[in-house]
Amino acid sequence: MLKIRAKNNIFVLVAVVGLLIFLHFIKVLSPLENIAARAINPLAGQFYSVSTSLRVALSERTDKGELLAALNDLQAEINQIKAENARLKAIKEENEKLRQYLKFSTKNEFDFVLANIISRGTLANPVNRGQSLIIDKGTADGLISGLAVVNNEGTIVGKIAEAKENVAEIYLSTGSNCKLAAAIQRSQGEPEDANKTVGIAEGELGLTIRMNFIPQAEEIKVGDIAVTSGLEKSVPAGLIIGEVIEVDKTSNEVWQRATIEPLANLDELTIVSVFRPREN
Amino acid sequence: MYLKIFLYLILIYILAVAQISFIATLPFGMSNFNLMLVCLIFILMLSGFRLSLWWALGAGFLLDTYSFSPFGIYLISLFLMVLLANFLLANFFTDRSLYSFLALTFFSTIFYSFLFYLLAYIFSFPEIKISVLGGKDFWLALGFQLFFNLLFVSLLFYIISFVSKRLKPVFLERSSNKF
Repeated sequence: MLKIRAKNNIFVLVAVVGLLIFLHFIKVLSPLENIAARAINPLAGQFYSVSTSLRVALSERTDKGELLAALNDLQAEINQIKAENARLKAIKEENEKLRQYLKFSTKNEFDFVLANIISRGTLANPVNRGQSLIIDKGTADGLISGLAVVNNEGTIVGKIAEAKENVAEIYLSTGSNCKLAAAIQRSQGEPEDANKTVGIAEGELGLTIRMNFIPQAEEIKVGDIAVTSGLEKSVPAGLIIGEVIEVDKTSNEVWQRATIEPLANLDELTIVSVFRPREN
Repeated sequence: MYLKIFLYLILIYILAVAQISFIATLPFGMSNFNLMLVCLIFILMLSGFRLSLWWALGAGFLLDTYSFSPFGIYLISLFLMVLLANFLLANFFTDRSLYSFLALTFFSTIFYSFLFYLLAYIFSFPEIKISVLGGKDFWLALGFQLFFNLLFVSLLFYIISFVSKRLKPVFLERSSNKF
């Protein structure tokens, strides 16, 4: 009798599991899922901050704490200056184009949404750990797949991969799933009318970014800055991707490749901004 | 009874948030620790099969809500894992010793990991986003998960042994006045 009752209980629970899955796919469970997500988001952000602080603290030795702090400050300042420089260059180019086309009118196509990071890697993508993040904003905040995500210094850190109503998954720029239309900005002293080198930047091994399909004729140097080219509709132009650290140029190849080191520290992110197309 | 259910829901909520946001970002491989699985094993051992199944349901639902894998993967994986664990508990690891806990955790972790990736592979077909059991990442993650799950089970076992008499001691005490 006890065995039959136990078996009946299992069948009931199996039916409940099946029903939950079915109700999810016909969107009946959406209100309950949204309530669950809204309830989890605030606490999840706090837990993530604590965990990130713990991870950062463990990775830095205490006897080098002050030195590292100073180094981080300087690095942040350098990154801000580079971002500012990239923005000024983009503004300068736009200015010159406007002089040529007198009736051209500028428009700000994007606004941005601040979001807390609430999870990393495991839940979002169990196999490619560390190459994706989850934030606490979703389609309810106007987020869609393909939008650019930047850190507080204005450096691009990834793109929205998928958005649910209250959460969204971001592929980090160093992940193999993230591809960006990129351009190499010319260093100072080079002719201003030279064309910008354009290619596709995609993440590699969760550590660096590779820019592929660069024509052989283009001259790229270590130290050049890679930025978004603006060829993607949902990604603004001029967002810094990183700095060229290696150029792979073989004479008998059609294309050359560049290795780019991201300027953003992707391990310490807790808050990001998502560029969202402005509604007309 | 309603207070108990409410308390269980709060505990499931806290564990789910801890799994999603705290454990997932820990360094040194600790992000692979499966807190939910370990808790379900303990609930199965201490509170019974039925309660552990309901916990698996609640935890799986919350994890699926946040996951970007196809909905139902966590529900099915945790649910079947509890079924397997109960089968092993009833037929093989019938006592409540530390070794039973460790063995149960070991087999449950392996079964859960394989089932999870198999379901993710099947549900992602034809647009396959992961390779089935592919790459050193999977095996490395499994190794870390086994290590930290077993470590946590051992710690939790000793903690519960101090506060509860429901767990059998590892070593039997000899009677002092035997002779």
